[in-house]
Amino acid sequence: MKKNNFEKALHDALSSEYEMNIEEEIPEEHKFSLDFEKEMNELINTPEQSTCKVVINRVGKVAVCMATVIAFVLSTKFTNYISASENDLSDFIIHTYETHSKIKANPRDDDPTTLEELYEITYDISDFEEHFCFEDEYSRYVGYLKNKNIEILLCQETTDMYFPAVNTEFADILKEDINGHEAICFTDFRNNYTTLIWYNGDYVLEISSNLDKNIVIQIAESVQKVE
Amino acid sequence: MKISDFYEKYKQRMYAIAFNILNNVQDSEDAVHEAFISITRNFDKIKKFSCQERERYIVIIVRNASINIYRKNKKTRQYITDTEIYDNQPAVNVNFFENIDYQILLQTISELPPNYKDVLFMYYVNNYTTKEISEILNISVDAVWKRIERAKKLLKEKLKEGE
Repeated sequence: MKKNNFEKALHDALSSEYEMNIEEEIPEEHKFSLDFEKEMNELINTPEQSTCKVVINRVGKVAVCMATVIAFVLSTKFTNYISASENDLSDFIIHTYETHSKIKANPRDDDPTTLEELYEITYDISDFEEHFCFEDEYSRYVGYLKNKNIEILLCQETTDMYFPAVNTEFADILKEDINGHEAICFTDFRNNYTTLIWYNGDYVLEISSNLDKNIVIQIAESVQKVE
Repeated sequence: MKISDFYEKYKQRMYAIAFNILNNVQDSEDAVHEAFISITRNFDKIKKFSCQERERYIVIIVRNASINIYRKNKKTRQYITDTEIYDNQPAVNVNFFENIDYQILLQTISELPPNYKDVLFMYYVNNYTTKEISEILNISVDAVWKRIERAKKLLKEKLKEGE
């Protein structure tokens, strides 16, 4: 495919930065510390791990233990809260850490692996302007803006590719129902931002906005497949 | 190629890249270790890369790990969704750059911050998907999109300043 001026310039300007010149002699080889060599030996010689296990690194293991204990305590008193347990959500696995959560969708065998259909918001947002639209074969992000500070973000992604990290340091994590689908709802009270994530049977859909939470839910419920 | 061979072949170069940014032995080793965690996770894919693609990938991974450590040391909070605020200007269409003097465009691109160069290079030159970029840089896909857009806007602003 013919490259445009921009892509060609990026290639010409930056390629040399990413060349390691592996054949050139390094002026002074570094003698790695014993601790480093030991850690690297453990890493290299560990059998290949599943994506799920790799995500839980040393810090993550401690955080997941803490999250599990907290979730267990909370689940006995606040049944509306989502725990870090896989059993609570059939469509997602959430790994909760100190400042963020990583969310992985559970892909089904017959889920599309590329975006074969597109979904749009049908709630009246005519007073918003489309601020950006990025898409590739797996994901689509559309951002809407009003009065320079009110935002709506619509995301559509294939289930096998959906694995974001979400800042949940100051957020409540709840469940909501979006058109009969179980949705994860993060409400960041510090920034007044609500994020809803759900699986509609084909794709993962996500709505994020700093509008009132009830309106964000209505917007999510309005997301429809477009012809 | 086995991962152990890969490690022996590239570890010194990776350390040199990290040390160039961090100027500290312990931090540079930490950066190499962090980079290798990412590499082992994606090793099946990396094995299939050409030599050039593999080296580019490694440089970006190490640079990203080093910058993360640098920021941590500076006690700058790095939010998962990237704290860069996207302004209210329309998205930058790449057609804007078609009529820019080529040499000026090259020079201005080279002056961009490293994290902007990385994401533009991966997306437009290496043709990685945003998902792949998010896994390499360990940020959300949302943050990838925002960073791409912010990079283009900064490039556009710098080009306008130079007029």
